[in-house]
Amino acid sequence: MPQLFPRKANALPVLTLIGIVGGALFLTAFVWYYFSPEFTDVGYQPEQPVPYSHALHVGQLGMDCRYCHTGVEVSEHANVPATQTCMNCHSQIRTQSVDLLPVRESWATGDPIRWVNVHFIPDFAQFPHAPHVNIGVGCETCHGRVDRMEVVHQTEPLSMGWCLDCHRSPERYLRDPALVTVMGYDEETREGRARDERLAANRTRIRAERIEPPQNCSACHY
Amino acid sequence: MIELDVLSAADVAAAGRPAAWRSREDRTGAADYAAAFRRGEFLPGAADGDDLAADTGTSRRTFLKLMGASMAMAGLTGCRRPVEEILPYARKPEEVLEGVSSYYATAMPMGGVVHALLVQSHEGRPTKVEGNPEHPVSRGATNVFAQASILNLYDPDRSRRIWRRGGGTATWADFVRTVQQAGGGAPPAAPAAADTAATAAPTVTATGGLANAGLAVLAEPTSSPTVERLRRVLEGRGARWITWHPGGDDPAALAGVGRPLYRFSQARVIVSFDADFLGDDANSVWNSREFAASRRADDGAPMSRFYAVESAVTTTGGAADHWKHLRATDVAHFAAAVGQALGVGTGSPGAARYASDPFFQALVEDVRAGGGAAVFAAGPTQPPAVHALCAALNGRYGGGAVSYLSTGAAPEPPVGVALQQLVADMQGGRVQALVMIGTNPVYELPAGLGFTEALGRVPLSIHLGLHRDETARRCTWHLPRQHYLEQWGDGRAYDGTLSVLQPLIAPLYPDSRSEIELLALLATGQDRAGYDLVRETMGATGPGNEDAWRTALHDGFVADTAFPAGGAGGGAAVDLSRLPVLGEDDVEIVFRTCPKVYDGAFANNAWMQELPEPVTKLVWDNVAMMSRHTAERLGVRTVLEDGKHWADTIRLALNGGEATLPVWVQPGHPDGSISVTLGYGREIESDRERRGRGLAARLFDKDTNHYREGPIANGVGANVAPLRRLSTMAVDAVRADAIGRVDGGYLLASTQDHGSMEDRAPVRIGTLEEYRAHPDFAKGADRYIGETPWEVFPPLWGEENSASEDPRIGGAMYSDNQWGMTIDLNACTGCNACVIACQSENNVQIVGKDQVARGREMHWLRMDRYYVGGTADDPEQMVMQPMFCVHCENAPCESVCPVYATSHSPDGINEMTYNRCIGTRYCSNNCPYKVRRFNFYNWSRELPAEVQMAQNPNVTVRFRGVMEKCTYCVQRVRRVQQYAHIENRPIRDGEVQTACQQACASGAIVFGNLADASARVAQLKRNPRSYELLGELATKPRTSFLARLRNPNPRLAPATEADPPPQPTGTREPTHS
Repeated sequence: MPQLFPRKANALPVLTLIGIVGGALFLTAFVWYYFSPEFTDVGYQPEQPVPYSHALHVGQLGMDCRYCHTGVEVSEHANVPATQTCMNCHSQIRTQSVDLLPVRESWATGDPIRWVNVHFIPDFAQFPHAPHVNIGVGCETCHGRVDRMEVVHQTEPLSMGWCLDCHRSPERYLRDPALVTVMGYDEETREGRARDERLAANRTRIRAERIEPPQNCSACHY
Repeated sequence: MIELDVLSAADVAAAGRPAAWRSREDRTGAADYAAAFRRGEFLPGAADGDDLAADTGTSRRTFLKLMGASMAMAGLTGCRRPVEEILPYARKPEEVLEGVSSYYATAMPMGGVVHALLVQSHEGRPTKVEGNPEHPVSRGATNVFAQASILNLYDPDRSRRIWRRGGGTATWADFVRTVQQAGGGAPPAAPAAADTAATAAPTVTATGGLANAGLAVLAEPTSSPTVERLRRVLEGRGARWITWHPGGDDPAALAGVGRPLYRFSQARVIVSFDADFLGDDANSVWNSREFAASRRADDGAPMSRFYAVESAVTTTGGAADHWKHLRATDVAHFAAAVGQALGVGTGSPGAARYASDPFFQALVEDVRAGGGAAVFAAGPTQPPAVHALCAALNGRYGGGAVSYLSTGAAPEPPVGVALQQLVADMQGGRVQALVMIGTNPVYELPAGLGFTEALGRVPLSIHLGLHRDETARRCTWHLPRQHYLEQWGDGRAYDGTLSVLQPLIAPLYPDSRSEIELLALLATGQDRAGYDLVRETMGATGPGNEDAWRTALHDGFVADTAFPAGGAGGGAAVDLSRLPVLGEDDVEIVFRTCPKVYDGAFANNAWMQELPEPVTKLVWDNVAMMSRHTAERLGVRTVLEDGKHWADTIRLALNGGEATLPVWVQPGHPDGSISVTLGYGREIESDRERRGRGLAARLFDKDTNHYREGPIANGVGANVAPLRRLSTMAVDAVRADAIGRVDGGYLLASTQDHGSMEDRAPVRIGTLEEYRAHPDFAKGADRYIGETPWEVFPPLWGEENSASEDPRIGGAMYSDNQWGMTIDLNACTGCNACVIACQSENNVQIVGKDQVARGREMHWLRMDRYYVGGTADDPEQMVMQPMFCVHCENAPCESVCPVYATSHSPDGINEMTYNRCIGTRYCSNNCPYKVRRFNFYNWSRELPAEVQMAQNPNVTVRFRGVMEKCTYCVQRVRRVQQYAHIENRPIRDGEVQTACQQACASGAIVFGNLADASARVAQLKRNPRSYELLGELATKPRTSFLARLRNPNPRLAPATEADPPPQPTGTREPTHS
């Protein structure tokens, strides 16, 4: 009886095994990255109703974050400013700008401007801004270099693992609470002596002030 | 392994203590009871999904087909990121900060008094009602109605627009024009009108208002000075004003003795003649606090002795040391006998038979013994003479513990007479305009009156109400009313303290108006804002200038404006010789306002419908409550089968009305009497748009939207209000043979047996004598655990929870606070305020009657009611036990969760992480306290938008398939911790209050930091009465209970209790195996 399978078929089981293992590994890696917020959420940059440029207002004009986001130090939300805040200046400056038409409309009618939420946190996770800002987590640490963004986009994954990175090692991310709104601080202290100094200062502070970010579930989930 | 003795019911009996039992069947040991409630962790049917199949009838093939399609769709939608918008203010109001809630003082008018409140508002959206902590009556606590009232604001079936008969919708301007024309417009020029001279149309008044002899106002009781002022204007022009109280007449007012203010804390003996002063009383918050103070026997403080004579089974009676059940008519004779024996009243025809009653003798002897004040209270079922008798008794024996306040209101005639006159005039065409404010006469007036027919003959009938209800549909005009959280107003608390009502939110429906705005229009013909009207009144009577007004708004009340105390009675002997006598064969029918839906005002409030009634634990129904003997006499019964109650229904027909009600056999109910509650069988009309359901939803998803069918009040229970007699609204009698059995097999959903404690001893009770002799009588087997040093149980969260990998850096963040709670069973009255407070704070959803019957209710906080001692038909006492997650340190639920969704926080909270939960329900199985609740369906997805507004934004709204339970209000804990951390200070004792604690009027619930030895909760843990429920299981619960105490009269104590108590059973050496 002739052989059903040629000799080279002997490689088939090995190939199949490699295929299965490789495929599984590939699938895992695929899901690991492409299904994670790091891929799906980072870079999210929706179009906003007003082409408001943080790069202009913060980067060039040097406005402090808290001029508009007034509640960030006392509230859980870093509130999006009221139309009134825009009109503080824009009743005087660029009063005829076409880009600012929705702002003037909102001011005239009293209807809110419908901004699109960029940094989305699910309802079952409670994130309060106030304790973070007051303890010295810089705006830049979570929101990136807003001073360079023409249109705001998400720079960090905002996933739970990402939150816990900092809660487990706050010394790597804390800064002087007086400098929370400073942009570029993280980049300047990324390496070398500046980094070591920052870590040392933070360790001292963490011990002195007992900064122990919670890692238990009900710290955020309730 | 150490195996500890369990303190079982047998041990309790051996110790000579009365056993605690949950229901008749529990007491009698019915076979079905053990089968249904003692086997398995869940009720029969709780874990089955059989109804799902029955509901949809989906075949396997269709299921797979559609499932495949919907999976594909779900996969596609998953690719799209949900776009969420942020809508900031255009013009930001001052002092509003997004994410920081603000609190405003206001007050809730109900039953003729206002309850001072502090309301939480999120960016202009009120979500939670609390008591005003500075108010002399509230002191921060509320009753159950105030807690639930927030959902009335967001009732999706509220009336939204103005209705005019014939003309359909109309605007407020149309109505103003109508009134102005009727009052100040053209005179009746038509010749035909001259024929009916007697029925003169409303004539032109000096100020252009609508008022003359042809105007009648049928209004709810109110304490508002502005309403009083406008009423005087209208009455000055000859309009008639009838105040309609949902329970009928106020007998205390008819007796003319003033408004009693009880200071139970000063009393040595308390006697109640059918007075449910802890329950349906307008001053229940004050009474609960005072009563609890009189029962605090710790550190040698004196304890009152409470005798209750009742015609129903109420929480007040359950709190009594001695409890007697008589028909309401007989209670009056019993009171007469007491009055006669104590020398302040004449006897009555039925009084003599109590002379040899040991209860009576003990009571009279106790009052006579002196050495402290005796307080007497009479309830709404009692005739005015009994109220006068109580005033006289309090005058002589009260020692100043009861003051009678002079409200300054003119005495009202009996409402029955006034109503009869009104209906006669309506029939005769002598009423040109009838205005109904907050009343629903078509629904709630006796049928014999013929009001509904007469209403058709009134040319101009105006109804102002929250709903387009039974009356509204028959009126020529219906005006939507503003909820009290939307309106300006004023009113007086029970003690007379003046409060200002300020709106928390702009009216949801712009056409709605408040009662003072309507009255001002009727009185003056001018359309004026409520704010101006209140300011005008205040200018004349109270805080006139701007500073005083702002202070009043801020504080919520004007200090030192309480009513003056008038003199109590006590002069001439009260004549009780004309009290009616009820034959032994007659069956008495007693009508009461419902402790859940009141007179129907809360009938469309889903929380209140699903709230277990304090005593019967029934939900979504009203019943004819009676004793077993009476039920047997009438040939009806309730059957317990498969853990469900199946009741016979009876037809009650009297005074021209008729109602069919299911029967509920109630232990402790007097024979020959049937108790019924008002407020059910509503017919509300709503023009809310109801969203349809998609095909996939209809096929696969159970319809969990209780609002879909229309107003939820409709079709629940039966209306018994028309059955009442005009002269004595509360009590009537009927011959037994006039009550007929209609049918059987009516499903009643009662939670009384849910969460069975498997025959252990969940509540511990001792007498005062016993407590003085053995202060730690309540300790059982948990004593062993309790005395074990804390360190034996290593912290569940050790170094691994450090802030960093760096081992030199600190412990866990929240470990400075170790949260714990004590619940004083001696103070708890079972008023249910905490249940609704928890529901409101924690977004607890409702599930409907069918699901409750399966044991799937979602209440995080359940109020367990235990009968104590006695027989299955006549318990000696009742104990209420609020039961919710006790936050075990060694929690059985945590060790069985396969996904670590329930775990322990460093501050001792047993946390529940919804987004991790996969719904195995192992935790619920393993919980010995049965306090975990599972979302069998998606109860929150299809809530109407209005109801969604009532949800607390700081608490996750749970999804289907997720377990949930009490979190110790962790959202409040975390908030305080965050701000304390920002301010770099420790948390003060009492700074974190749980919602249940805050609502509790008697101060039974105390929450705080156990690590702080000076905290109140830590002090209470050291109280000898403190015991840990099921502590013998070594769960180390963080919530402990303080044992209940009784102060029985030695004359009446049964022999078993007179024996010296043996050593507590739990102190036996643990057996090792």
